[in-house]
Amino acid sequence: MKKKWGLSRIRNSFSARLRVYVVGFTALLFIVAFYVFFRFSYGFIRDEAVHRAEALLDNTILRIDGVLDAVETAAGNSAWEVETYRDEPDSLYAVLSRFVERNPIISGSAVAFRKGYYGQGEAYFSPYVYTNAAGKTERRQLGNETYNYQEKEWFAEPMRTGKPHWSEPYFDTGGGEMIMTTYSLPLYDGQQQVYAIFTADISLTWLTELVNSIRPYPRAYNLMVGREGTYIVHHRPERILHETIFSATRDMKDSTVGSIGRHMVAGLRGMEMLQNDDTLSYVFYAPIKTGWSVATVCPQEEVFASLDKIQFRVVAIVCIGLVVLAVACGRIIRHVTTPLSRFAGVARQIAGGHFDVPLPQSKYKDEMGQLHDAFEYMQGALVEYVHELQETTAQKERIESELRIASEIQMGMIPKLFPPFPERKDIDLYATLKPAKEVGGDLYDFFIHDEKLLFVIGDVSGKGIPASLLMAVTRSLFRTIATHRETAKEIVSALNRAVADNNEANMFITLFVGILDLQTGELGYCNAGHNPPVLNRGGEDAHFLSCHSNIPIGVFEDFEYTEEHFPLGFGRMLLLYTDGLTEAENREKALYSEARLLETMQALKGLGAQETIDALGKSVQAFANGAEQSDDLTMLALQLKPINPNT
Amino acid sequence: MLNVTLTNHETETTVTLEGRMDTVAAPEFEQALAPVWDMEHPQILLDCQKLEYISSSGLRVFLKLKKFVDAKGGQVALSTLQPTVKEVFEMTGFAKMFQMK
Repeated sequence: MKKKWGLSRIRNSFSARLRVYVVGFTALLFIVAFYVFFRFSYGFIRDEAVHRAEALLDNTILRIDGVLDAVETAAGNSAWEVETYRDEPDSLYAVLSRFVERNPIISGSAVAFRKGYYGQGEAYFSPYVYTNAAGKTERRQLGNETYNYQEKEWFAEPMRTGKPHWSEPYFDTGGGEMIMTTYSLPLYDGQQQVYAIFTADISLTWLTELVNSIRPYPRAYNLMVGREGTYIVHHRPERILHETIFSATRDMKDSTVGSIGRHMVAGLRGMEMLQNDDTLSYVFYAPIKTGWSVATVCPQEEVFASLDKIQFRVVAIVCIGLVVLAVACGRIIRHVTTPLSRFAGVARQIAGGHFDVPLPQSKYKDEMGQLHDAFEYMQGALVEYVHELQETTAQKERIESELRIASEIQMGMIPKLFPPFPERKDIDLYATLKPAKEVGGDLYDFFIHDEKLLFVIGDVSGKGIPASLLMAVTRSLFRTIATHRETAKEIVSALNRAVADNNEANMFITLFVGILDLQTGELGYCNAGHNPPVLNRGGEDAHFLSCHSNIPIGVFEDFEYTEEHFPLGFGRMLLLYTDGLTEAENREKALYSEARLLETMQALKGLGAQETIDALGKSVQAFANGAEQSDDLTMLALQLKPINPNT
Repeated sequence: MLNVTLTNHETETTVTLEGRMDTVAAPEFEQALAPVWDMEHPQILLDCQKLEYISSSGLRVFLKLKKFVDAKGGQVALSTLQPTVKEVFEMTGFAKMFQMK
């Protein structure tokens, strides 16, 4: 058989279903665990990244500040030499040369005098010493008609404030041909007037290198902006000094960059998220002493790259684990449930009648063991039960066959050959007995003795075997007693004494005994509590034969029964019956009733004995309408035919 | 279906019979009479106003009761009978055996 997969298999296979449940639940558990784990890891890694980036940033700023401090200190230390030689321009060149040579980081230095300090002829006097591309120092006088340094920021700003000043970076076209910044130190005369600005130029190449050395992540980049937001350091060189953080990012969708720029220009430090060309980045920024601001931009995916890597590995491991679990579960469950399938097979075999089929063995006293024990018990119980059932059935069959035999014996006791007296053309007699069970308590009998027809009909109280036993006794007694008695009353009294003697069971029998003189048609009869017979003849309505109400036999041993007489004559039908006729029930529990009996009999005038009884039988059957016969039904019809003297 | 109810009024016991006393119901009636079989001086009134039918098996229990009560020197009486039941009692002569109230 081809294995079925899919939904139907899950529905039909316990192991498949269990496997789905186990794996599904485990997967759910893992998902929840991972969710919690990653939430914590995410926060942890983010905090770590922030610390790391900030530390790097702080370290860099510290180093930048260190360089700037060194320049400031150097300038401060050389200021007195400038003071000393301020009126000797040649000596000033020497001082500046020494200053530049002593401090390799300083690429150039000038002393720019206030306008007119050296008289009208030298309106702009500014000795300048710098290191050229070959590493040699050269000297120049900066002040001339074309280069009015008085307007330059490095001169104007400290002149205005009277305080040292770091200029915004600029591209030096006249001297070093590189991006520079200038430290300006104002020099005061005796009147506390600034008479000159002592400057130290430094190249920003080292600054770019320093800033770019911040590299917390491979794809992180850094930038530095000036006091106005101008890029000083940027990974795209064309932007340096030409664009500001505000102008370059004007087209960006994310407006946070503007606020980041404002924060940086304002000299604040902080961390913010930035969406830039589909990349989400963390921006860390901090100011340095000159008012510039350094920022490092770290793509989020790099910050969490390690987490992503872990995530991928964990998910892969879990997926593999789940597959292994599913396979293992399947194996284990199949191993565990195999006995169940075997038990199912065994149950089917037992149901088929193979009680001795061997049971699947279980090593353990677990549920399977219990099932094994239960099956074993069931097997034993079934064998026992079937054995008992066979015995009971056999017994029942024996009883039934005995009952059948008893029924045959009983029926053999009553005359059943009709016509009973073929040689007597004057007697028309017919009778039937239909017991409600196999054996019944009704009886009838008749015989001719001395030109007299002796007949009896009776009904033993109750039904079945007890009634049938008493019926057999009564019928035998009747045969023995009747021949020795003259009257019906004597016969009944004798039967009564015989039956009432030792009648522990309080059984009784209603009887009608008649002696019909076949010559005269005179009927002598005694009714012991039996249903009165029906008389039927043309010219008169069907009616009951009047009877004394004597009690049934078997009740009181010494009861005095009474004898009655009726001239039955010829051509008059006498119908004897038991209460099985008048008390026949239909489905509604209504009784056939005496009234209906008379009515039916009225319609049957002129018929012979057999026709009358057959018609009555049909009438009762039609009335019962399928209801079960509840009592024995016995009928006996009798009439004397008028004998034609001519034949 | 037959309903048998026994009620004791001082010395007399009323047995109320309701329904049909057929062959199946007769043994039930006999069992229902269990307290009567232990009585020393039974004074029984059989209330048969609602007795609709009686079979010969039922009559047997009536006979047993009558014989028992007579042997103990007690009395048993029948209350009003329905016409069909009365017919049976008269036909079988049982009407003579029991005192009718």
